[in-house]
Amino acid sequence: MQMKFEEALKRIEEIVGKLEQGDVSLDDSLKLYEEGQSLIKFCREKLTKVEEKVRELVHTEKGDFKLKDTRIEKSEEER
Amino acid sequence: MKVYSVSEITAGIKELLESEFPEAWIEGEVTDYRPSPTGHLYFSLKDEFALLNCIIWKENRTLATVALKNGAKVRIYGNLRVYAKGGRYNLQVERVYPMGIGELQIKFEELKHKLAQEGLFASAHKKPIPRWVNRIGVITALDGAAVRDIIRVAHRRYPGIQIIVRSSRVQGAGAAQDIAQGIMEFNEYGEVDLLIVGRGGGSIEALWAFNEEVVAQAIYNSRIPVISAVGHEIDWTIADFVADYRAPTPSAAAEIAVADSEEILEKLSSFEHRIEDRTRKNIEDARDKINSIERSYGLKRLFDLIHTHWQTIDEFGYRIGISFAHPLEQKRAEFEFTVQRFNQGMKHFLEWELQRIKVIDARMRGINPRATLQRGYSICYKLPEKKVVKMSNALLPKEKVEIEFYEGKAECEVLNANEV
Repeated sequence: MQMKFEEALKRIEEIVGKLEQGDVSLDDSLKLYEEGQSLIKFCREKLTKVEEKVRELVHTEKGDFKLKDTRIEKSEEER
Repeated sequence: MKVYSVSEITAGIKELLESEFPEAWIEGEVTDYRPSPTGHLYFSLKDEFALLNCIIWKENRTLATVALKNGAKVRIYGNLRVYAKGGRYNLQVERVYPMGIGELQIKFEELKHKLAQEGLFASAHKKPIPRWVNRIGVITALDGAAVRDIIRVAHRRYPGIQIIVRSSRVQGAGAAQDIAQGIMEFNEYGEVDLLIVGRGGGSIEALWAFNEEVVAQAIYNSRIPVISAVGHEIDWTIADFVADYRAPTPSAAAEIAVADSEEILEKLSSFEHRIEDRTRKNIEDARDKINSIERSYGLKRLFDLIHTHWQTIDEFGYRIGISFAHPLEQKRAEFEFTVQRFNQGMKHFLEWELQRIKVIDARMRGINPRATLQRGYSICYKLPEKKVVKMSNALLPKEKVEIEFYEGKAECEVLNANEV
């Protein structure tokens, strides 16, 4: 499941809307609940991921691209 | 002695003047400014000793970068025209700049005008900036302040952001080509959601690369949305006009590009609560509904009615005596049977619904709704409608069911199903 984060967020909003609008059957509301739970989990995982790495795009002689790890000193304002 | 007709000498003057001054830059002070109702602008340019009549044709009016008014000190560009019929000459103006404007500024204005005409700044062409990005591309100098600012702000907002930098010269010879090349490379590479193109502050000369047409065209042709981030708030470059979004500074570009993960996490928590509250409420509502059916007047009334009939039958039997007792007893037994069936059916229905709610409630209450499955239970769905099967008599031989396990599913065919 390669769902895009933005789509997941949108779907969560939709689920909240549907549930709050009422007129969903008990079975459907449970399905929505479960779907919402798993989407929220997916989004949380994405949001709490840590990368903190910067890479450099390098055009190779062969004409393709590679990513090179790079170190860029943080600015002085960094606390 | 050569004698000219008026037309002849005017033609001669016209040719001399117009060929000698096909175009000219002139500085002076605006006077006698008269916009005409037809849209053309008339005025004169004067200095201490002379006056020059000028016209801006309606279609060139937008070319003036300063507001024309009496007393304005301007540098104008245009060509001289002799108006033979009126015996006058004047300057047809094509550009109006403030007096003392530098050459670079004029170049800037010229290119800005040209690209605007070509539609490079059209808002219809601007791509939306995505609300959420995973990976951003940055085109700037690796040793500049801009890249550090962007990384700092981006990581603060979302620690999981992937930043890919394409090192580029940002000033001096070849810088514009390098920046444009960087934009094209990212488009070829493809795997970024957004580009930030920029550099830290500097003089107009230092920022000049961002005023070159090659950069403007590369931004315009980029399939990936571009945020420009050149210099400080007050610096506007051509790149800013073409970009899908103009950030006043590199830090601001990172603020715009990268969503604040804290903010979204808070939003998620609130969504989570709302979803949970609502589902819980739906369950409560369903339970209340069933309880109210049980207690409803209609149902009670039905039982009352049954009891009344009982009484009537009893009384009737008592009054007409024992001889009728036998057929009456039979009726009585039939009636009793019906009532019992009704009672049972109703009880069964209510119990079944309550049970169903209990199951749903229990499933919802578990933090992980799949916990039951983890303990080795599985769920059976009748196919094709995918309805949960709760009783074996819902199934017939040969029907297909799907069984959901803690991990994975299996599609099965019913061999035999017990009567309940």
